[in-house]
Amino acid sequence: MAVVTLKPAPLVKSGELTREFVEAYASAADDPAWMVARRLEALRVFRDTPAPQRSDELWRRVDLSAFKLDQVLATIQLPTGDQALDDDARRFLDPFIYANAPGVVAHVNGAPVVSHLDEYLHAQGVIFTDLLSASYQHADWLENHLMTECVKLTDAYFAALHGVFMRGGVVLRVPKGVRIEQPLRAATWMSADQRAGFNHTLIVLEEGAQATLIEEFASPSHGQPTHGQPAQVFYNGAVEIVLGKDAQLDYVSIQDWGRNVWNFTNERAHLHAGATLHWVAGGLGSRYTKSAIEADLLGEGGTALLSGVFFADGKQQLHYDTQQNHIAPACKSDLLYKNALRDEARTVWRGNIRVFPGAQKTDAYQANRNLQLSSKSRADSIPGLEIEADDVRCTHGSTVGRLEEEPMFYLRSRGIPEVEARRLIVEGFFAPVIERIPLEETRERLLAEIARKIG
Amino acid sequence: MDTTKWFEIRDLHVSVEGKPILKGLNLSMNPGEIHAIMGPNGSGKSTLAYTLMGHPGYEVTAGEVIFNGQNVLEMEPDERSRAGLFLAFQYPVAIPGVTVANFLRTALNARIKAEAAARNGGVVPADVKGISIPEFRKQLREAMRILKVDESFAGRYLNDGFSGGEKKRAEVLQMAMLKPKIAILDETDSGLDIDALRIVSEGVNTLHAQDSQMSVLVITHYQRLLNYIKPQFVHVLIDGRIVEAGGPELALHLEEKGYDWLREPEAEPERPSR
Repeated sequence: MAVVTLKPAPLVKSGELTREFVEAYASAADDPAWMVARRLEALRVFRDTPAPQRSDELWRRVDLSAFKLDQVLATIQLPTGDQALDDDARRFLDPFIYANAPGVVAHVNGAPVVSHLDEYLHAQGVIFTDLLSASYQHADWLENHLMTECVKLTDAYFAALHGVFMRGGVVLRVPKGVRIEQPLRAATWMSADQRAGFNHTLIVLEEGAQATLIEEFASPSHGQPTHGQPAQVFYNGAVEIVLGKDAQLDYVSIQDWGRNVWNFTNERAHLHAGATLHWVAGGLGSRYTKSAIEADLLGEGGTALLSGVFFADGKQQLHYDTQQNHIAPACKSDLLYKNALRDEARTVWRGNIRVFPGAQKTDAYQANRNLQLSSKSRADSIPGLEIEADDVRCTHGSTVGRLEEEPMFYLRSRGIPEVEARRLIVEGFFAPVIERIPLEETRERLLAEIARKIG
Repeated sequence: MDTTKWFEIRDLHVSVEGKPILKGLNLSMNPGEIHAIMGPNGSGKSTLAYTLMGHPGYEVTAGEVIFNGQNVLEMEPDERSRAGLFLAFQYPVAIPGVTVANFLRTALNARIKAEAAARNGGVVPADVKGISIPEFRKQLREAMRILKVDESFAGRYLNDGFSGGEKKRAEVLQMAMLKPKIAILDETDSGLDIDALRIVSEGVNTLHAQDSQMSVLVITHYQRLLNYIKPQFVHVLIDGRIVEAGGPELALHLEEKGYDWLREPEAEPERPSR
């Protein structure tokens, strides 16, 4: 009998990317020479990296059949400079532009519209600027750090592709011992006519430095229809965080993309000895999100606190793959990701704690809590532990629960209408994570968006 | 002539999962009165409490509940609350992540908005924002002072990790803030030691003294609670019906004699002789 070998079909068709197009893109983006070289290197890596396949464990629960990457890549626009701000963009950006923050960086369609840092921080050697400015003003430093040590081109298909087109995003460098008490702010907007976005966030805190960065991403949900369907928008971002010895970072990243955005990100933090990271991820928007989020504890005594608040409705699919890698001994990691789901939404959380040989005295925890507001929604929760040291404490918990009748009745018996009661319960569900966001304005905006999603 | 009372339950039949629990219950109250319903386990006491508040698991198969001329059974639970009904739960439900203060402010705002909407053709006017935070804090602080509740209560998550006594005090605090016209206390004494019982009862009595028009319906298995909250009328509920009614002396009598003397003699089941 003949053996039939089934060739696994790739989940996305990558389409043809030519060197000429990438060079034209770099030229339109005003790149310095080293950046052009970096893009071309990324293109080589991308061509050698197979597209994700359904047989890959990380992509097994994914239905990308509706996503036309080849078409999206064929329609990537060459970067243009000054961006006119429409009303939607204004509404989103104004709170940042006029924020009372020591530093603000805002982008529209990959082009910087605001890049501000208070003079006293500048004087202390702090860099907080947009990627393009940094690629000229801090060329050597950036060339050494950009996708070289944290998120690398060879990590993943969508990391390589990001490397080809990365444009826009923030660069934060805090020199040794400098502490920035007030939160820095970053905002990214994609307008309705934009087909793709490739923001890159690079944060480097040197020894003993301290900072807070709150980043928000959004685009309108009413994308321009082509043939009756809202056009697909491709967002392919990356976040790199490097924390030196005893550095402390609070990083909040909230995406509220329009419902036609297919969102793929690779995000990683490197923590050296004694460093502390509080990382809050928020996901409200997008049609589809696939984010790889990783904390690598590279030096003794580091602490990574990873929190997430995600609310999926309609046909949204939000997938988060998290990694807590304990490479050095005596580190602590604690992950709490919370999903609420309604309608036919789907979430997948796959979390892995890995304790490397020698990482004794590891204290690692992960929890994923899901609150289903409808019976047609589906939450997959897949915790994992890989432990190669013997003196460790690693635990995990995951729960999937329905909105229960008794709390609803209790609240309604106090005169609170049904929708409000549901909102209170969902807010309460998210409260332990939202409380970790160190800025009231951001908390309020998140709560308002959650309330809007409830009805 | 309409002889309907201010609050009247007429021939109420209620089933739970198809099983009849209340089988023709009648009861009426006037403003300011304190009534007690006593009955053994399984007689339908909690079913009555939940049905009056509109719990979806309780199916009314016959009868009426009239309050202030309104048909209560047609109202949603939140509408009943805003109309002035209040149920102090036997087992208050924890709402993790929602502070007592946030919850109470939401509840008060729901009242303000519903009232404003009723005056405005069903639409909440845009300028109605609800109670201001300073005014709310003032009211809450005053209620906590009267009920001898610690101020830290306001910042705790509602009923989450509360002791039995704290839960019941939180119920009375809610009652104080929502100012009902009829307060139904469902087995409020259960799980309370004597000190907690005294504090909770004092709270109810204080609220009743402040608002002499507020009626109280105390539902209890034991006479104990009635030493603290003194009813003018006592009704005995057995097998889904009120079988006896009287004054406070009836409660004492029940304490002494139990409920058995009121039970209908049950027919001996036939046994096949062999």
